[in-house]
Amino acid sequence: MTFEDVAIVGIGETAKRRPDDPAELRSLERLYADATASTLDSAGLQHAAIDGVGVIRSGVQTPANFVGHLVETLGFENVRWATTADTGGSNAVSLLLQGALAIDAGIVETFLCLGADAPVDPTAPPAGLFERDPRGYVRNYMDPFGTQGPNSRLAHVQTVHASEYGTTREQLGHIAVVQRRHAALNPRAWFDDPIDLAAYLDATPIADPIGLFDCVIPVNGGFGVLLASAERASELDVDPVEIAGFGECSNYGDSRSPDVTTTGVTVAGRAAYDRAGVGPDAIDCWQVYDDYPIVVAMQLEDLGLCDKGDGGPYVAGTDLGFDGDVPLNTSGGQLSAGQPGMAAGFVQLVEGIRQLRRDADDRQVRGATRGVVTGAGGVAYGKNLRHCSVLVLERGDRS
Amino acid sequence: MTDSRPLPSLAEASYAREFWDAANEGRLVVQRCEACTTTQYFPRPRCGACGGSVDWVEASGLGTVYSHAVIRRPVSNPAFRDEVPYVTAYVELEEGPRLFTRIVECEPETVERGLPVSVTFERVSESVVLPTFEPR
Ligand SMILES: [Zn+2]
Repeated sequence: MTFEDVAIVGIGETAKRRPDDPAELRSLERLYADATASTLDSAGLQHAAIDGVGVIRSGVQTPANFVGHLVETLGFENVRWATTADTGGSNAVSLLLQGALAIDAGIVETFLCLGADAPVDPTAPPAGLFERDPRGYVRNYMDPFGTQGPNSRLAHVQTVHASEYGTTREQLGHIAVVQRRHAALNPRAWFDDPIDLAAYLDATPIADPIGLFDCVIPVNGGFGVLLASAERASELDVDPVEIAGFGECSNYGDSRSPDVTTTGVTVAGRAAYDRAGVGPDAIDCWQVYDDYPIVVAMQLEDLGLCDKGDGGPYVAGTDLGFDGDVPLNTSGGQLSAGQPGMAAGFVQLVEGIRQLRRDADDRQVRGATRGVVTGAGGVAYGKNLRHCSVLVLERGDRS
Repeated sequence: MTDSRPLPSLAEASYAREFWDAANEGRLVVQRCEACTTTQYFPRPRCGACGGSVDWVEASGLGTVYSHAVIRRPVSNPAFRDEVPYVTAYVELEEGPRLFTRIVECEPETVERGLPVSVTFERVSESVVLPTFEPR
């Protein structure tokens, strides 16, 4: 056990559907307030019990010292540990680890991890979710040549995986199809209509070989995860979830001639398994960062579910349903439940915890005891995932 | 979101100036470390391999396609809407580094990994010339 004195005691999540009042839609503060309320409610904990708060850096522009601004807006007083995580799609896991460290060090007894973002503006045209970065290599060395965001950048990766290993769109389509099935069972998901493989293959081409159903659906949303000391957790009427293992990896691989078919999840996953003292065979459900099916397939390889390069045949030949052999992204994931901007990593984190609390209703993985959650932040120049995180979570015992 | 073509921010990174100045004169240059001789691209203030100081060296302009994508929908940069379909690629230069660019002067469907290419230059504004690549 990595953090013996830390328990996850609450989760919260806003619905992804558009509210009736467009003015509410882009309010980060509204999303954070609603996510906070549902998180505290799931733990049965009072507002005043929060003494640590962490927030992600959103894609929507926020003022400097946003965590201080948010603590004030939400009305938490005398907070003893306030921090920010800024590792893109990894930030949910990064924030959880910061909170666990603060509890483990005895600095706080509770720590509220918050993530919200609002990339969608219904009053504006659909293109262009966030302002263009004012600096950096994407602006200077990619945008001028006509890169089209992550869609086109992961198309490069899929091209190489297909060329090296024969991975086909037919194979990867199984990921999109099963996740859409899961979304239809999730009342908080954006999509509720199933798709089949034919629809996946016929979808609008975006950046060959990436098509429309390889891309996430952007949504606005907020999430919370509440940590408490084991002692504090024992006073609550909840099924605690424990952090059995974790690992992170930034800027994986040889920078000069990187192999873009392997991700930092190899490093982060090994660390997480070692800390947890288990391997992939001991995992009941998999919440794998899903900005694209090819990214899921590569991570399944890197997590040891199949050999490098076999991700295509593996996903085509395995029952990935919540009621199947290898339950994958049981909320629908970002592809079908929705990607809330830089809060995307919470899609995987919250569902991973929800399954172990056995609170996933119609899509509950029977007897879920141990789950993997991954996060991935950004696409590095000439590489794949810039920052990777892996968690092994375990259902704990009520004391 | 602007509809004008995105251009590099030339004023911001003085250490990268030589790259754009060279392109303006029809030359392709990459950085080389004065300590460990590693070549690198994109331009950085120091060597990514050892942290040493870097200088500029002329590249041959020859390379091969490492990876590519055929852009069909200009979802993030609508300024390119009249240019689709087009091919973006990482070209592995003879000198080693991979450079993100555009493959021009061919049908998009004919581009494949390993395709031998050579540099060509496209002026996109008064001050900016982009090194793009064509089959050789
Ligand atoms: Zn060096």
